[in-house]
Amino acid sequence: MSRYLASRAVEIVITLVVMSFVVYLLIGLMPGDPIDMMISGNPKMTSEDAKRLRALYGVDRPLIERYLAWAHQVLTGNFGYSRSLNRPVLAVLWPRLLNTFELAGFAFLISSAIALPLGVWAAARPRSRADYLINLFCFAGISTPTFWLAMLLISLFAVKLGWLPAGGMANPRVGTSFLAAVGQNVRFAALPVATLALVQLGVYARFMRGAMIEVLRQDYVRTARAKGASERRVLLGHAFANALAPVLTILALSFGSLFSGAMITETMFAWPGMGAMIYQAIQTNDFNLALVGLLLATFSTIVGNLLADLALVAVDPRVSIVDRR
Amino acid sequence: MSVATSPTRLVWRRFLRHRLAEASLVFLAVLLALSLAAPLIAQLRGIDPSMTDLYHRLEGPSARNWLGTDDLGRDLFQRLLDGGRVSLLVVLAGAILSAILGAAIGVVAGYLGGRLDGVLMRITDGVIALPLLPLLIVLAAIDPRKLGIPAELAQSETFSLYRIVVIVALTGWTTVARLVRAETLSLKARDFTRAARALGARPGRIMFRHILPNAAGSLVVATTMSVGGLILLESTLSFLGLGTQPPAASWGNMLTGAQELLQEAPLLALWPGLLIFLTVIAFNFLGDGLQDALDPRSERRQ
Repeated sequence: MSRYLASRAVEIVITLVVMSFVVYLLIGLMPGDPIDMMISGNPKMTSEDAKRLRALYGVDRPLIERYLAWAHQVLTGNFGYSRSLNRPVLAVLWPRLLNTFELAGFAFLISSAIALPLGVWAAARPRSRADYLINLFCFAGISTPTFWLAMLLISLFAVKLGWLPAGGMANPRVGTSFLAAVGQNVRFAALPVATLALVQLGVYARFMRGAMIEVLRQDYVRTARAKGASERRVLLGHAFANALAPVLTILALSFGSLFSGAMITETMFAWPGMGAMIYQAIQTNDFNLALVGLLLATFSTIVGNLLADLALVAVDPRVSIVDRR
Repeated sequence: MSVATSPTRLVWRRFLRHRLAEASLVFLAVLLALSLAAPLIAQLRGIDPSMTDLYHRLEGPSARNWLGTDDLGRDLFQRLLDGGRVSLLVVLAGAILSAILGAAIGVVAGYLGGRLDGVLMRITDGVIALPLLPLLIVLAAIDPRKLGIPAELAQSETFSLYRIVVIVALTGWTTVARLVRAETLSLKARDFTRAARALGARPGRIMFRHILPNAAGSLVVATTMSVGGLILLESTLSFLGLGTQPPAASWGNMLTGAQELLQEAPLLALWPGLLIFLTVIAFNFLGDGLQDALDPRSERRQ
């Protein structure tokens, strides 16, 4: 176990190092550099000043040297400042990471709570009308552009009907009762969570159906039926438990796309999360914020994958960590 | 069945049984034909799709403008066709590139095996698990002049199209690589591969002359299935202003303008989104149908 964890940790570190270098390189290729920003902010600056500042900030040195200097700083715990917000990046990102977890977490829970039963239901009646309709619904979910779905929901529920706020996050005043605060939160979260859940739902339900169909072909399912087990028991007791393992693996792999979806959803609904922050940072050339934000997003995705793998070991006794190596 | 059927006929027959896939194929063919013929259609209708006309903005459907006009008075129907041409061609080019990349990686990993396989598949899994969209947004935002690409080329319209093709290819290869690798592993053990090896064929020849042609089926399925997701990606990037650049129309960037006019002209947001949705779902049905048709196990599923 500890060996497995150690090798996974090494993997995470390697991924982060490679990612940080690639992102550093890409961000260096974005238009302008920090000194250009200073020049545009201060018309009195001469070209000598700019040169001096470039040397001072080390922008004139080779890329690899700059990267190493940056990495050294990060390793000593200094993640630097956000240029546009004038605050330490971690202080900016941390509350937003929690907001993203709230959005993505609820969307994940709701979509799995609907998708897994749907998948089982469809797999139990292959080629029936119900299966056909569920399949159609899943394909529709997979094929809907997130930003368009968000636009449709906003124009229907916020603009036309006026039932729900079009964007933002609840900010209850001091003194609001707990229940009222929860109610406000739910109102603001409803549309973004629904958007993100709807686009994920189809993927999850299809995986569940596929895994169930595969398992229902197995001999032990036939044996269970032959011994007279009720269909309900066959489906839930024998098949579902065994089909869940591969589905969990795929759910874990989907965290990355969940984050990508959250990025669009947050931007559309002005939800103050990480994804929207990273997008804004890229738009405003806030290099450091974008860099650290991207790494934090990657880090949480990989750690999410690892936790899901560990959960899989706990759920499924057939999966052993030791002989997978 | 008494008459002998060729494998191709068999596949075709199974494909036709998948009615949604059949309908999707027809839909996509019509869409592609219409959007490729868009300049011709514009000429026949006597409409210049790029001409703005502020006296006739946001008009409803009429005999002249079949779907009405957009916020600059341009004919919506023609814009949709133009957008479709750009979106489809960009994504198809990207998908073909990603198929080539994925096939090469998949066949090499599967055939040579060992440590190389381990490394390549780890990279593939790693890329699948990453939150790709923010990275692609950075990639779409980079300044090509810093890569030594001359300014006049970097600012041209074609460059933004090429860039999207590359981004699409970099995203799409993982699915293909995994499927081709799985196929290679089973083909590697087959007699014809062993015969080729016994005859002294080099690994390169075996991989690209013997294995890949036999893996063509799964390659086509994987590519078709990835096209849907890639169209979504292209439209998302264009919507965010990082993909296809205006004045060139694409379904994604048409929605950018429509977003601000949700209250005044909701139909402006409906059409491009609906076309993206229908195209993506058609490619997904098509991939599903092809998979059923090419997978011998599907016979048992009936």
